[in-house]
Amino acid sequence: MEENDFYIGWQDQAGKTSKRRLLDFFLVSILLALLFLLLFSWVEGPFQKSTFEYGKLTEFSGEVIDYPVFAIKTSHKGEDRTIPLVGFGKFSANPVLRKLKERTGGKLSGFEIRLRGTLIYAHGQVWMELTEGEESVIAVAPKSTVDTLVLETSGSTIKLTGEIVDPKCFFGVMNPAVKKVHKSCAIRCISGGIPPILAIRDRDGEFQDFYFIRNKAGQYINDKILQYVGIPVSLNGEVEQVDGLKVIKIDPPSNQMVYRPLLDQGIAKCGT
Amino acid sequence: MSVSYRSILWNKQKIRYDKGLVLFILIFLVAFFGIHLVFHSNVTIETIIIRAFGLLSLVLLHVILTIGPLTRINPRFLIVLYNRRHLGVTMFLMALIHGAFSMMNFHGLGDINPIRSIFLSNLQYQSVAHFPFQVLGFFALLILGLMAVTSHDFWLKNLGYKTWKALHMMVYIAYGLVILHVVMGVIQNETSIVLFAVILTAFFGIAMLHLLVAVRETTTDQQSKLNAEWVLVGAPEEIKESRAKIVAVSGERVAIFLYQGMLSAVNNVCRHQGGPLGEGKIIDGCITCPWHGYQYLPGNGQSPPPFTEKVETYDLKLENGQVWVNAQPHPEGTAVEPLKIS
Repeated sequence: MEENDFYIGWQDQAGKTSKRRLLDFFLVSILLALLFLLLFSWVEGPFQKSTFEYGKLTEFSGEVIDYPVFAIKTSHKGEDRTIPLVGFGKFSANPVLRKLKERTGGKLSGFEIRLRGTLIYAHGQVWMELTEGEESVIAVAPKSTVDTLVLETSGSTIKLTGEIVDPKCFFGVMNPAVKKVHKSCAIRCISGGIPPILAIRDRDGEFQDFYFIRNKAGQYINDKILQYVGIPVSLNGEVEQVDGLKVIKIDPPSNQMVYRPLLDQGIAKCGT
Repeated sequence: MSVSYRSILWNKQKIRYDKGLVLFILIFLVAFFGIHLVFHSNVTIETIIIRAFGLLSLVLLHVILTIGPLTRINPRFLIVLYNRRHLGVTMFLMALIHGAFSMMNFHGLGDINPIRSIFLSNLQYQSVAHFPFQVLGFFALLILGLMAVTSHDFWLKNLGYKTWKALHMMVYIAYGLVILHVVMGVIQNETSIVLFAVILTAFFGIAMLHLLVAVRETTTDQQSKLNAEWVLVGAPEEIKESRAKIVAVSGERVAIFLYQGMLSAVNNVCRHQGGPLGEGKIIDGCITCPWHGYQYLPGNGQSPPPFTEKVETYDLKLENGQVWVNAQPHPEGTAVEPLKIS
């Protein structure tokens, strides 16, 4: 260090050598930081294509169902679809469903419902958040025709391997919405009543098949599967299809602790 | 040093330093957002914010942790050390943005309080593979926050140097938590081993730098194990004018300064933040600490009035052309006649 280049913190000016040293340190630091950034950006992901139309409300008319999920059977972009419905935040749309049933005397079929919400879509699936809560129901009117549900059951037990996700985040509110970084969020969503889904990848690693998870009686078992969320799982159960929506009916583990040691082996076995 | 109280003592050099810091942050964030908007266009803006600020705070923390050992290895880096406080507070603010967005996104608008959610959502504390890594980040942020709010001379004065220093040494606990948070979080989430290798390299880089300094300073301190009444300093010619030589005496480091044909010995530890006085310089007749410019008179170890800081002083003697320092220190601020050598 130059003898005359001893810089004291409260001095207005540093010597030339000190200034040069500070600049060198800055340049080396920013260079290393940018290299790290480039490396991180190169290896992270990939991120699936998904959309959450935040701030844009869309209206649909159609018949509403409550099994296997609260959904509206409607037409979207010229295609007949059954669009599942979720609530604002990390909650289900069940309060809206209850209110709706109060208005229709407990029945859902035979009514034309007009709903407004925010669309969520990815992987060929369309979901809708009832952003305005009970205000999302715009109109309820009786209709002359009654839609029939097409139910197909496999009748046998099969094993499916995938990841339990919360569909609201998974189909577009967050990206990425899988694996460990999203585990806590998915647990909160499922704990809040959002119907859990088993998302299954194809051989290329792309998610291509989705199953609602229910117990053998067709009831929600959200609270029983929280610790299996966000990790690879194998589910044994009967598969059924309701209007194109797939369901796997499993026996939930009565005591999740029994299965925990298996988690570190990569695959958790649930419902075996 | 300043007599009248001002919360921040700005000067041109400090402003230049802070401008550089802001520029660093802007370059990093613009690059991160730009790359993600172009090459990862599917990713949501919340994810970009969380990752950009998380990564930025991680980088800044590494920069901060390299400065200390670098200045010990080479005093040329002292200019970087000055104002490190602003760097630390800025790093905390970046980490806070990362933490706040993560908490809002992953834990907000749910069926339990977001803070409780951090601890109670993922309960697999017994698992390495599935450990709730956000808890580690939460505690790291708490420590960094505590350090950030006490990064002011007000707290240094009121907590006392030892307590304040102990509190700020917790940066190493925070660093450990941050590394685990990153490794068990985003790195475990990604399939590439490259990120893990980079983080591991950075961690060992920081560890090695600190280890190197520790080894060097342990070597310097070896002499302190001798219980002699007088400890050899060396020939006066070994000391440059207005500079010092540091020797270890009875477990303490002592700085022996040469100025105007005289030698004076004081304790090496600055009472401000523990800076090494012996690596400083005599300016305007005062020993000046290289870290923040605190000053002491070499003859009595006292800061010039109205300042009140004091350090211990030591007796010196010259025998057969060699300087010796007495192992027994005088109380802080005791006047000792300088040793005349010419």
